[in-house]
Amino acid sequence: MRRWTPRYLVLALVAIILLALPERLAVVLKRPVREVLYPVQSGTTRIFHRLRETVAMVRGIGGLAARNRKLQSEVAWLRLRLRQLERLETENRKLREMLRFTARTGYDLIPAEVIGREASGWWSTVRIGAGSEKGIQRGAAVVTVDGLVGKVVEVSAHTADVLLLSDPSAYIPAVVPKCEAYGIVKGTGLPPEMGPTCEMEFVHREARIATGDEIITSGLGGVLPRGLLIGYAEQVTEAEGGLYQRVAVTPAANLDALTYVLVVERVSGGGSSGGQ
Amino acid sequence: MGNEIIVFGPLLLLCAAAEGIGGVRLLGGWISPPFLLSLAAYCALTRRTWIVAVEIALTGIVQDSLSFTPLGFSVAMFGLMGAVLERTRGLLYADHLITQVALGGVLGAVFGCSGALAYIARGAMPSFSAAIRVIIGMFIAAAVTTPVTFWIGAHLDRMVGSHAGAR
Repeated sequence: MRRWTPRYLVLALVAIILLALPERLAVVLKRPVREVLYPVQSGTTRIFHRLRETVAMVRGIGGLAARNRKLQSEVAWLRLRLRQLERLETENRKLREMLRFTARTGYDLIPAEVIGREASGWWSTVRIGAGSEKGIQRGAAVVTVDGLVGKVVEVSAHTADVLLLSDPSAYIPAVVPKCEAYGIVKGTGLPPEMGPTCEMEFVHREARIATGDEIITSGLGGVLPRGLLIGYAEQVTEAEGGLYQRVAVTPAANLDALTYVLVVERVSGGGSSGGQ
Repeated sequence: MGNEIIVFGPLLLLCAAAEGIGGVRLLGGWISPPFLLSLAAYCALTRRTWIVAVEIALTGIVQDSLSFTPLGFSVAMFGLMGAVLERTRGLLYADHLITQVALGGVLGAVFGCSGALAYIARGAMPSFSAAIRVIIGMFIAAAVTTPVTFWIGAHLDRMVGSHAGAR
């Protein structure tokens, strides 16, 4: 057995100093590493996307080739071109949808690609390949064409971390517009197979909420604008103590399949930010 | 020492890239393959000089930059694991695949467990099922990434003729 070496004591000291740093300074220190890793993360994510598309393409070609060996090469080439065009068409449609969504909502939206997920496994966050250089600020809402995804919690020049709705530390002021019932939506940390992904808490017990009712951001607190679709009510139960109701919420956006997202830059008339 | 740096630099970048590309859906949640944890273990078991402290500190800082944990948390955890590994180095036959799988699994579970502290410190309370999912997920993921990292590390060490790694 060896004796404790001083190098680990120095390491412990370094760790203590880093942990004792104010959060603002720690975020600043994290930024250079994130910026160095950004091209690597972005590049490898793109390679993986392409690989996945290629595997899907090859599978398609393989099935076709089995049916007609004589024309294999010609069919393969045509299929390859077709798949490429289909991919372009899908991408085109997505971008058109995003443009229409921008016009519809009245918000200024910044498109961004999801380049990574949180590494420790505890938090439900994703990293996007757009940062302060594109005007993204801490606290900005992040959406897809389906609905709210989460909010920006850390920003560097080219990247931003988005805390997803499904995380228990994500508190989103929400309202059920049908009955004007206010509450707070927070994540449960559970995968969809094991229970509701989100819950709306502190809902007045007299509020009449039905399954399928829309839940949107309330704009209270002034962080997120009002009117962003969060999800739909799934089940309404009485909270402990009987003072409030608790609503299980199904997020409108698919949080497990995020490839492109939109960051709400600022409100330009479509919704009101801040309290009401 | 120079050779060790030549090996460590690309290895750190490779592990960071592999860990940063996203994650795999495991047990209903997302788990990023903990290559950096495996790299810290590799450094602790193969390096002998002061460079091990520098390498573990850098690995921890990169890990914290990739995740939402407070800066310094992974430095502390990797350092603690490194110190324990160094003390038990003589008892471990780290070149064997089974040892690497078991070691990776244990380290992954411990690191997954310790992550709960950082999570709670940030004001969130994990549910029991989420905690079990992360710990088991990290156990499985680290059991896979550790032999891979050790294999790549040993090959790089042999390529550049680093005596520390090419034991």
